[in-house]
Parts: sequence; structure tokens; C-alpha cells
Amino acid sequence: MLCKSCLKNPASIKFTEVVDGKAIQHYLCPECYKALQETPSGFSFSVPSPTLHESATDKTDASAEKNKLARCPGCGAMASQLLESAEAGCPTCFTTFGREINTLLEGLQLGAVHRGKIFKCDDERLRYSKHMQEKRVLLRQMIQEENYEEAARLRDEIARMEAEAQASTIPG
Amino acid sequence: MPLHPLTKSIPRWVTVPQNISEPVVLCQCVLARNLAGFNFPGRCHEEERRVVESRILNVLEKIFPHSEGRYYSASDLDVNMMRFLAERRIAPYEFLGAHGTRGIYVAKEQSLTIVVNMTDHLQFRVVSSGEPLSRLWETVDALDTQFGSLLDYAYHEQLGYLTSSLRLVGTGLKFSVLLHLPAIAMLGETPRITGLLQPKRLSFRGLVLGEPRPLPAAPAQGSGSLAAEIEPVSFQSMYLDTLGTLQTEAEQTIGNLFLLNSQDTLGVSEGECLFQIEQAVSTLVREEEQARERLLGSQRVALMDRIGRALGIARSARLLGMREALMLASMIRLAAAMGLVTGCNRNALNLALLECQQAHLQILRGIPPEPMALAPERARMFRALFAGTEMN
Repeated sequence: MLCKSCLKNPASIKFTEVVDGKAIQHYLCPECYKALQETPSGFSFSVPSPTLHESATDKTDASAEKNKLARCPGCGAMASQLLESAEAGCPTCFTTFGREINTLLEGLQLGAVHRGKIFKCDDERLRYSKHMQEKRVLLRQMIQEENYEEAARLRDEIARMEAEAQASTIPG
Repeated sequence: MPLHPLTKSIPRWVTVPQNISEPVVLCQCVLARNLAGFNFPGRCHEEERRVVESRILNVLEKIFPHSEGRYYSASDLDVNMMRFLAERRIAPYEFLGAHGTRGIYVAKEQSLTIVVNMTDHLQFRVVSSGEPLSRLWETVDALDTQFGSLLDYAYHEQLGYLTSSLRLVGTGLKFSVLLHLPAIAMLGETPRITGLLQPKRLSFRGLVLGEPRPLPAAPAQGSGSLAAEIEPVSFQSMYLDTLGTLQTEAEQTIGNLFLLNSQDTLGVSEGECLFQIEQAVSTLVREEEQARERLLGSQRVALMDRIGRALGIARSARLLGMREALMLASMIRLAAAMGLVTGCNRNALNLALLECQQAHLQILRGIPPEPMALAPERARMFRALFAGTEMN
């Protein structure tokens, strides 16, 4: 298969671009892929870009742009960062940006469902983990809102709970 | 300055038994896990990183109470030592670029390592050479089960184990095999082999020198310097990373070394992934053996000439660049595997691959980080390693 950009060299890199929530796969040669990485504004293919549908898709583009600015409540990562790097910031990203992540996974992975080893964890431990995650999200919010008194209280509470967990859940 | 404890022993993959299939240089099994309730390391506050590290260290103490292994915090390792670990395959390349509280547990014989707070909270890594891939997976799997009984992993019912990179989500498991395939390369069969592996969704790639930056152009001939072509210091290492960004086209590899990597982590089980890569390794080994027979049958004189030249240079050069050293090591390795030379064992060949790299030369031999200081030492090392090697 030839590189879709220069139409000269053999394509050896599969590059997935997500546009309006849809994964578009480009097959590029290493030179064009490097050029894409070095160009801040992205990549321009020699294929003419669509013009007829532009006005009809303006609205969708605006909503997609708005979606890209959405932030994960868990870690503060933006959808655009996730789409650009194919990297999540925390477990909460997987629920916050479920649609974007599924689209990216379609291009990156063979399937959409885990078929490997299953992690077994009792309900109590699961509840504890969720509770701690909520506390940490709250702590981050308090710091952002400059509510340092509440942040300090939460920080101490988290540290105390951590110490208790270390002593109780880990045998020995 | 006293030598770091990690420099005092040689990794087990170097001192491999002689009877294993020669084209396989080393195998690596990597498993990524994250703790539930925390952001992934890239988005963790320093305080959270410390808590994660302390939890993991606590578990390490329970699992390996009398271990001869040791945990090294990144703050105790300088950049050069981190490069040394990356050159040895003890740490992945990403460990150098990560930040904040992080560290690495290195078990005895340097074949098992646990990287803490790099791109994921936990990365179990087993590197070996004399064992089947299934044994590596068994080791990692058992360790993962032990950790999982004491720690809560970030896990999603549909997506499996959650990782920072979406390329690892699901099983979190990657296999990589470093192969030496000189006959395939010399006969120009690399594109055919790449095509053969493409439908299996495995990546077959080449190695690059140094970090992911283009190698500057060599000085033009007649530039006034008689010195052999020596690369800048940062291009005198061979690193492996977890996701394969430090790899290149198979045709552009160095020293006839190739990397076969598993790709999918979602939609496949660990067993399926293992089966696919084991099958592909068998195919590659068989193809290489057949290519060697063809090479010997049709181009014996040319092959002997190349080996003779390589041996001559290895035994008498005064300056050796990294690329040239790898090419010489490749020809001598091929000759030893085909029984065309005597007085050269596999340990010496693996040592040549490992210790010709810049951080190894700097740390083990006290050489300053300058190209024209490293090149004579590399040449001296090759002269010593291959002094007793003779052509049959």
C-alpha cells in the first residue's frame, strides 16, 4: 500500500485521526508521519478537502469543538488531549470520555471487549477505592477553589484513611 | 567513585545457555497495572505518587520478604545510571523521561523488574533469553496475581485493566522478542517477512540508535579527518520502550537485529497473544535457518569474505563507532552460529552487544562521554573479546 500523502513511498504507519467522533485511518510512510508530527497545525493531504458539505457540518464542528474542551472530573484532562495522545489521565476518563475512547480503541485494538484475565476484588475493597477516589477529586476541587481550610481537612482525612487501610487490608 | 551495586553483576539474558535457538537474542514480557482510586502517574500529584509508591513498596516487602532484589528510587539514580539500566533492558526508555517520585525494583539476576510510577503505577517486566515466552508469562502472571490479592487494580468490566495508554488497555500485556536475522537481511527478504507477519497483527520492526531524533549526517569524505565514522554520544545506545516508538522500518535496522512485538491487548486473551507470538518466532527462526542454508549454498565465498573482513576489523580496529560495532558483532555471531569460526561463545557475543553502548562504556570502564574517547575503548573491548576467534 502506498502512502496516502506523498503517494510515492510504501505506507508502514497506521495513523488514526478522530474527526467529529469518527476514527479515520491514514496509512503513511515514515517521512510523512514525521512531517505530520512536526507540523503544529496538523497535516494536509493532497486529496482535495470537501467543500460542498462545509456549511451543513459547521454546527457539528462547533459541538465537536465544545466536546473537545470537556474536562474529566477525576483528573482534569481534556478530551482533546486524550484524542491527541491516545492516553487517559485516570480511570474516570474511561467513563467521562467513553464515546471518544471507544472510537480510539476501534482504530487501535482488535476488539472492544476484554477477553483476558479477570480481576477479582471483594465489594468492600471496591467501595473503599471508589470512596477514596471521590475524596481525592474533592480535594483537587477545594485546592482549585482556594478553599485551603477544607483542603487541609480532606488531606488529613485521606492520609488517616490510607494509614488505616495499609494496616488492615494488607496481611502480615 | 564506587560502582553502583547494579553494575557488579551481568544480567541473566547475557549468560544464556548455548543450546537455545541462536536467532532469539532476548524475550521480554511486560504487564502494566494501575491502582484503583488514583490518577495515572502522568496526572498524579506528587503526594499521590508517594502514596502509590509506599503502597507498592509495602506489598513488595510482603511478597519478597527475604529477597536479594532491591528497590531503587529514581532520586538515587543519576541520568547516566538510568541510561545504563535502559541499555540493559532493566528499565524501559520511558523511565528516563518520566518525572516525580518513581523507582524500580530489580530482582536477583536482573531478569525481573518492577517499575513504579512510570507511565502506569506498576509495570512488571521479565527479560530472558534461555526460556520460552510461556515461562516469562507464567512468572509475570503469578506476580500479578499476588499483587492483585493485596492491591485494588483499576479495572473495567468491559475494557479490562485500565492503563494510561489506550494501546495497553485490556490485558495490559506486551511481548517483545529481539531477533538476529542476518541471512534474511542479506538476502533482501525483509519486506517479504514483514508482509508475512502483517495479517497476524504483530509488528516486525527495526532498532534505532539512541533517542528518537534523526542521526546527524556524517561528515563528507575528504573533510580532513582520518577517523572512522563515530556517532554522537547520544546515538551510541540501543533502547527498548514499551510501545515501540523507538523502532524503525525493518529494512532500516542496525546490526541485523529485529523486534517482533505483540500489538493487541483488547479483544484477545493472554493465551491467544502468547500463541500468536510463539508461532511467529518459530516461523522467523525457521525462515532464518533456511536463508542461512541458501546463503551458504549459493554465496559461500562472498559470505566467508564478509566474515573474514568483520573478524579482521574486530581484532585490529583502533576506533569503532556503534553502528560499525553492531555490524561486526552480527557477522561474527552469524559465523559462530553456522560453525564457521571457533573460539567465540555466545556470552562474548551478548557482551559485545551490551557493553559496546555508551553508558556501559562510561560506567564500567570510566570513559568520559565523548565520541573520540568511547570509540577507542569500544575497539579495545572488541579486540579483547574476539582475540581468540579464528576462521575454520
